Amino acid sequence: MDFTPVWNARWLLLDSFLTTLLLSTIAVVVGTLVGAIVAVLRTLNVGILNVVLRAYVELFRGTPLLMQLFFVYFGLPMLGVNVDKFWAAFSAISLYTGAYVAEVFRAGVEAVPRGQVEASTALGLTFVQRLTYVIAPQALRVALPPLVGVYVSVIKDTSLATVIGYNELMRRAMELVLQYGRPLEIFLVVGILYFIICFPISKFSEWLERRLARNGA
Amino acid sequence: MPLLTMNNVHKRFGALTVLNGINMSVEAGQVAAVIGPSGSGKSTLLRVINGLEPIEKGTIEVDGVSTASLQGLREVRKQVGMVFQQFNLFSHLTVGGNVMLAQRLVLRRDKSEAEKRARELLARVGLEEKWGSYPSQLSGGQQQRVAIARALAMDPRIMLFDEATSALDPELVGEVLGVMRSLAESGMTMLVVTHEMNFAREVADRVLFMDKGSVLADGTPEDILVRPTDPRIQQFMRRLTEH
Repeated sequence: MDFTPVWNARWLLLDSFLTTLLLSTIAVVVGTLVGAIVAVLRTLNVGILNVVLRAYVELFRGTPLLMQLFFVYFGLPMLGVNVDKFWAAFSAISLYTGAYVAEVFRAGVEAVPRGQVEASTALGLTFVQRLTYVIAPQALRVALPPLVGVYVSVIKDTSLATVIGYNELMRRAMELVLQYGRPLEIFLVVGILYFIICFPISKFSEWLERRLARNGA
Repeated sequence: MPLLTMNNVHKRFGALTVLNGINMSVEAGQVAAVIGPSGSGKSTLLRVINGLEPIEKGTIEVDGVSTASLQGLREVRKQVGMVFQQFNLFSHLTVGGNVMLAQRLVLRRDKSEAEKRARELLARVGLEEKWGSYPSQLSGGQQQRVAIARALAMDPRIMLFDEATSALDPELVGEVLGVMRSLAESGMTMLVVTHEMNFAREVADRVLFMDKGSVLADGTPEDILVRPTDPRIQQFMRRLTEH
């Protein structure tokens, strides 16, 4: 094994690593916001709104992210909507994440026993207060493990942005391989870099679950 | 003026009529037990009072405030405390947190005031030492006593009990009934859906017998429970004593 090419390209790799980190962070944050809003709006059970939200969730979960990236980057310009690589990658991955997060939150909300809502209603809490102080804390506890699962898989899926030429970690790796050969060393290091992002998140989730489990049911 | 008035209240679930024109009122300080066969509408009778179930027709007033408008309903919910069969304590909050939450959010009490009131009430139901425990660490009887304290913390004018002891192991029923009895003795207005006939006989001023969504009989415990004249009540009482 010869890691010299990897070492020589360390700043390029670091740069791409940070790009992947940035894309992942944005996808997770925006996706979570989108998912939370969709989940809350769905609890209102308003006919037409529900149909639209359901369609969003099902469409983005029912098609490959790869296709969504192509659609946004190559397809939308045909309609006169030009998006640069960053916006294409960012919006497609965020919406894709949002669809999964919405389902995770919805399952969490549905796991909160009906009696919790009734008790807080009887005590005079408003809709927003019930949501904030009674439903959300309990739903989050249920949603946390699958939520982290979604995050980890989204971070890995940011590598798909490589197909529209967005210069994240995977794309940089392939360029380096073309330039220097040494695929074994380069992909090994890139694998470690992805692992460095994902593994602590899984660990953090385990810790959080244990902590929450200590606080009662 | 009665504290609670229900006028021609109708409630349906789909094709099923659950409340079929309820007319009744409860005076301040009165303890009324509601009995009757299952499916007769007893729980629904309580649940329409604070709007957990909307009604199709009729009016409900608590202390002169109608539940018809959203604003009125909000006011009524402050005046009406409710205790559920399944306790429904907030599982993510401690005992203290359960009794303080609505005081803070609905009555806008500050933290020290809410805590003071919560500790008073927990002492009253004999659970002051459970302040920091979570509901899952308590027995059913203890959970129900906390639920009673939580409802009382809102300083309600009337308390609704929806089969408060039905989900409890037999040996835990007594401690909850004890709290309810002392509450009745303190002058609280109570509407109690129950299967505990001894409790109804000894504590209630008045017994309502419900059947098929109507109040079939309304009288003293003596009239309804000891010497019922209506054959349906006689049959109901016979079935109860058979096992």
